[in-house]
Amino acid sequence: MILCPHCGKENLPVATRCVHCGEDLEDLFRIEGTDPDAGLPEEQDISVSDLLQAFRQEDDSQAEKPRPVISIGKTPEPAASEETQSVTPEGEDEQTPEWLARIRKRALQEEDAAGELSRKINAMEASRAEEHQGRVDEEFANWIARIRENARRENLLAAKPAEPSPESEEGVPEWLRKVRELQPQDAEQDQPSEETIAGFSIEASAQEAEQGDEPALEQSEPAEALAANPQEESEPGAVPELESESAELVLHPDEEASPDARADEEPSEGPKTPELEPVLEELGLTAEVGALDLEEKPSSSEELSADLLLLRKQKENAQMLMTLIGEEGKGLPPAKTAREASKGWYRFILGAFLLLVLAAVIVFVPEARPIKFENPTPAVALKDALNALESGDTVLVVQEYQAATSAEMEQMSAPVLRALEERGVKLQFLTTHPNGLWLSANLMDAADIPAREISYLAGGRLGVLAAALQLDESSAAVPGALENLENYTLILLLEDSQADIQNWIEQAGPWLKAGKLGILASSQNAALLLPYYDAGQLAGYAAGTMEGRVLADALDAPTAGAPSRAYQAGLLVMIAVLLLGMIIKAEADSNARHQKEPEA
Amino acid sequence: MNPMDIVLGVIGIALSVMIFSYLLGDNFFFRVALYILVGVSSGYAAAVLVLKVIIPRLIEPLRESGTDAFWLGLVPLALCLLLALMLVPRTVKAGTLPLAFLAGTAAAIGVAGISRGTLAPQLLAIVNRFSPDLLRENAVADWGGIVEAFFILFGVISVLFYFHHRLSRRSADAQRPLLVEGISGVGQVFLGISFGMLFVGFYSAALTALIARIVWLKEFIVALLAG
Repeated sequence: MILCPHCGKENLPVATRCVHCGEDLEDLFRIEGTDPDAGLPEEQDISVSDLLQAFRQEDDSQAEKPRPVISIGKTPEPAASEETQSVTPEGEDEQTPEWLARIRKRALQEEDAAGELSRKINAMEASRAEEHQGRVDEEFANWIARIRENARRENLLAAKPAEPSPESEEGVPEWLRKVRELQPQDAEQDQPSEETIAGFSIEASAQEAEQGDEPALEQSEPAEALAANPQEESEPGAVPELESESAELVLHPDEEASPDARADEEPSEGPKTPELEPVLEELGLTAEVGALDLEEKPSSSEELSADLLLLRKQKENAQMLMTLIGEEGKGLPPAKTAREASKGWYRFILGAFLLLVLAAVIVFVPEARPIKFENPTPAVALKDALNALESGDTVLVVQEYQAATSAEMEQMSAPVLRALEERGVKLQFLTTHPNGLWLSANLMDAADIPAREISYLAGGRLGVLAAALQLDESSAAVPGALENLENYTLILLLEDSQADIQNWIEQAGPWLKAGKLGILASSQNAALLLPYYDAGQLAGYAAGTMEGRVLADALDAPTAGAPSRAYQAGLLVMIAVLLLGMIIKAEADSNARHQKEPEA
Repeated sequence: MNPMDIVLGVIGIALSVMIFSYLLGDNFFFRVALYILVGVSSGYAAAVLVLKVIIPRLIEPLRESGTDAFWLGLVPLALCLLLALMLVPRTVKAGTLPLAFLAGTAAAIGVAGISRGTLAPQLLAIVNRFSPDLLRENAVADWGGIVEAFFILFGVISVLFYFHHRLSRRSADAQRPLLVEGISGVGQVFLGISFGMLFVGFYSAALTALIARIVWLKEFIVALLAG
């Protein structure tokens, strides 16, 4: 088919005039890029019809003439082409242009290839030279776009085939019946929605076919084209056929919902439809588009979406309930906390720095006696209580510390025990911790006193109370070697735990005379002991190695070489770390405030 | 230094390094050392309890049939059997009896001990601070003692205000009076000082233990090198 350069309609390849507008189509039978007036040196002009005729003759006489060369002279008129055509001899092959050789070669492969090509090219050139060139281009572009759109929709339809839903006896789809069961109050509203779903787009297509399409067609088509094509208007073409198809599809006309829904959901389709309608008519796509809209855009989409969301939520709740039931009785999984690697490195750096400082001080810095400071009152009171002991008095030493604090506790208690042993005081050991059984041996070695058996008091708080309430020595709840607590001149507690200290003060203290309890504790319990001492519940106490050293000096008992320098270095490191942390925190808070101020 | 000391010293160093590896975060070596510590401590405690408690206080009395110790020994034996029934899922409830006995006894003793051993003596000590005998020294007012007594009383009241204010703020968002807010703030300062002192105490104890461990390592290495 060839296109008319005037009206753009298609015509047969052999037509010399357009059947639609009557335009002369002779110019189409020219080869693009050739000037009929210029010609070639030997052959002044080339006529396409002559060329085609020569090709056909060449096909017929190909057996007799292996490579005939067509010599085409200047032919002003197509009718005179036969007079100018002649067969060139074999010696003229060398003078044949390359373009002609290509045409010949293609002519051997395709029937009327050169003519089809020239007609299309000439038609395009001529059409672009016309006054309505822009309109033709636009229409062509719309036509191509519509074809692509149609192909895309066909792909969508092929990808989502309509599945027939199971229906009940009344013909109600299964999904709609479920929705009605879940929301019976909306059942009445669902029925028109169903009708709307089925009929909205069909109605729209019917209205377009009856009202909008033909006026749009009249507006889009130029008046002269319509006037020049009386046959097309009178023929039972695409429009009547479309009307018949649309009439078949109008099953549930819904005049209110369908046009609005289509107008809301396809705002961009409206303006293009009148322009593209002729193309759609030619392609026969109008009915298919209506069917596509029927499946893709139901009018009650919002209600359906809400119902489906409800169903999905119910399904999720049911799944969660099943999971909870399945997890019933099982242990909780360990919590996985995301740990930042940077914090670990900070901790490693600080810890390693502290270790290095302590090791360096211990190894390289010579030990020196700490500066004497004023004796703390509780330690002085404990010293007085210890000095009041005479030979033959019995002291119950309660050993209740762990191995972790054994170094600190041994530094404090060893001088005291040694002093008491030298003074002739009887020492009796008791422990409420299993670890005390073997830690006592180390303590006795450190104090350089003879080893003796240590009693084990079981039961913790209850055992302490039983020991305090022991009126006779026949109770099975306390060790046999343990006497009544009132019989001891002093009960010296070696403690590193706040709970153990409170056990003795709260359970045994009320049953004892004032000033019976003296405590040597680790430094972490200093804050706890002071109120009890102020209340008069303790004879005295010393907490930490520093106070222990003071107490040992007061008792004239030599102390073991305590690394006081390392202790001071450790305190300095911690002070520096605390100050650094406070500065960093203050800086971070300041930055946070500055970041919040612009936002406010 | 004998070979056994060397072996034990090397094991001690290895365990110390494994514990120190916690500086790099929770890792396999730290957990191994921790499991060894917990396992050994539990085993040792179980052995001590069997030898020091169960055998002398439960088994030995039952061997003397007909005596008072025998009949008294049946009570802890029955409680132990009920406690052992908790191992069977169907008889778990039977073990609640000895547990209820233990929990009830411990709670009663704890309440009585706190009342008699801590609350009453501490309150009496605060009240005694305002005793005329203590506030007078040689017929002259002891202003230092008076200020100290009022300071202690103010500290106690402010801390109580702080706890009360915090609890009431949880229940309702009502704005508290300015006086209450101020006293609560002072109580918060007192609490901060107390916690700071506790932190210093804990750090001092830990630092002392760390220094002792480093000193031990140093002495062991020196002794090992000296032969």
